[in-house]
Parts: sequence; structure tokens; C-alpha cells
Amino acid sequence: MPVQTLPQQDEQVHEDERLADAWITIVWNDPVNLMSYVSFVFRSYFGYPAAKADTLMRQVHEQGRAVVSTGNREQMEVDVQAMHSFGLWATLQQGGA
Amino acid sequence: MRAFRSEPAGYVAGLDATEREVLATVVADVAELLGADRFEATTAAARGADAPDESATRSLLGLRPLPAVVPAPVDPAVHRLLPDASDDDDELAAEFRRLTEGDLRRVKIDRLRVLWQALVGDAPDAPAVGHGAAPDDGEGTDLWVRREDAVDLAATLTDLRLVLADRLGVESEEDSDAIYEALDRRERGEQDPDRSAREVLQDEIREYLGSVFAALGWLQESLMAVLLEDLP
Repeated sequence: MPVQTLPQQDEQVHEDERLADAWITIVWNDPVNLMSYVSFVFRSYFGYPAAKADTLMRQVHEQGRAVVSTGNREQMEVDVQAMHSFGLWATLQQGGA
Repeated sequence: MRAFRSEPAGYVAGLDATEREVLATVVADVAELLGADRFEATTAAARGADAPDESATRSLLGLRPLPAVVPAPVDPAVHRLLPDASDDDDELAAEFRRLTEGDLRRVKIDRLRVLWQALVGDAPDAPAVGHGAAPDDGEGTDLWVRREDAVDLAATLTDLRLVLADRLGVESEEDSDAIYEALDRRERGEQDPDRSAREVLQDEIREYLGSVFAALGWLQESLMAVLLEDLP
């Protein structure tokens, strides 16, 4: 068993691994959902302030999709299921958008 | 149709008898698409008799065995209501669907049933289920929703519009705009006079679905206005 070596570097590695392991929830644009409704969902479900919710809504609308939450896989599964319940099409994936 | 407004008892909109009937039919249709039995008006006694049957179909502790595989819905409208959780990982999407689709169907059907009961005046107990005709409204045209149930109603209006949009072939913002333009042309009597009987029928079906789609959008937009105003 090795003695303690360079603990700070190890922590850095763990931090990087956590980021690399992060999952994201993406909401996709559709031509049906009202912009007001999409904003409302982002505010009421995620608790985002109005400005952030509106920015994400516009990103969905104009760029076709937006990353709406980040976390571990289980958390993202909960978020995706909630979005589907709201009638928004959401997907989860590991790593950056 | 009257827009939603905020009242101390909740949110209230107005629907006439025809609007109620049309909307109730669409609600029942969408529930059927999701696998529900056809909604039917029931008496309080029948509901009481039904309750044990329903609970008997649930396994102990309300847990149901999960199916080994749940194929994605074939009907594109149903697929839109129960979408894939991944756009490129089939395995992830299949596993997610296996674990969650049953619950999602039930949530959506239950919400549709609450709205349907409010529309046909079959709500067993209006405050308990959230919607109901206003007791003080002689014509029974009010549609009430409690504040805590308004999000469910907004989500249900979304589901209804998604299904109608699929049936109308809406795949882009332009398609959506075209529905409103067709309704405007009809309003102004500017339809092509040389249409065949078959084309007239097709247009009438599209205009009917389009008018329901537009009315639901308008109703939902009015609900969002009062809901957004009440957010902290």
C-alpha cells in the first residue's frame, strides 16, 4: 500500500473526473410549445429566475436546443422525466452539449 | 371562450356548451391514444363500485412489475407525448422508456381525466379534483382550476396541442402559422371556389382541427399569463 503522495494532485484528478462524468439534460425546440409555457416550466420546475428561464427558452427557440440542467445521471433522469411530463422533449447525455 | 383570469378561489376561464363538448371529445381521444379506456360519465355510486376493482388491479404497495421491454409508440403523436430520452443512444432510450413510460402514461391520463370531468360536469367533488363548473354561474360556463392544479392543466393543454399539431402535420413554425392563415382565409371567405367536394371535406376537417388547436393555444396562453404573474 503506497504512502500518501501528492494528495492535492489526486483531488484535482477527482475533480476533473467528476466534471467529465457529469450528465446534462437538453430540451429541444418544437413548433408547438408556447414560449411563455417553456419559460414557465423552467421557472417553476427548476426554480430559475425569470431572466435565466427566458434566456434558456430563447436558446431552445433560436438554436434548437439548450442545456437546462447538469448533475449525475439519476438527477438528469428525474429532470428528463419531468420535462416529458410537461410535454417538452428532453434528452439526457453524458458530458458537454 | 373567455380567457383565464385570477380570482381568490383560483383561476377561471369561460367555455360555452359547444366548446366544452368539442374539448371533452379531444381530451377523451387523447386519453384513448395513451391507452386509457374511453372516458364515460359515471354516477357517484358507480364510481364507488369501481374503486375496489381499480385498486385490485394494482399490485401490493402500488408497485407494478416492470415489463422487460417497452417498444417506442408507433403513432407519432403518442411518441411525441412519450418521447425518447436520447437522440443517439438507443440503449439508454430503451431502458429509460422501460422504467418510466408506464408512469408517464398514467400521469398524463389522470390529468386528462380531471379536465374531462370538469368539462362534462362529472367532477365528483370540484374542489377535490381541481376543476369544476362555478357554483354561482347560472349557465355553467366557467372552468375553474385551483392554483395548485393549474400547472397540471397547462401541461394537459400542451399534450392536447401536441397531438392536434401532429394530426395537422405541423413540423415547423411555418406549418403552425399556416394553420392560422387558413383559419383567416375561411373567416374572410377567401377559399378556392373551384375545390372538389373531396378537397372541401379535407379542408373542413383541417379547419376544424386547426380551430381547436388555435383555441387551445389561446386558452393556454391566457393561463400562462396569470400563472407567470403569480410566480414568486
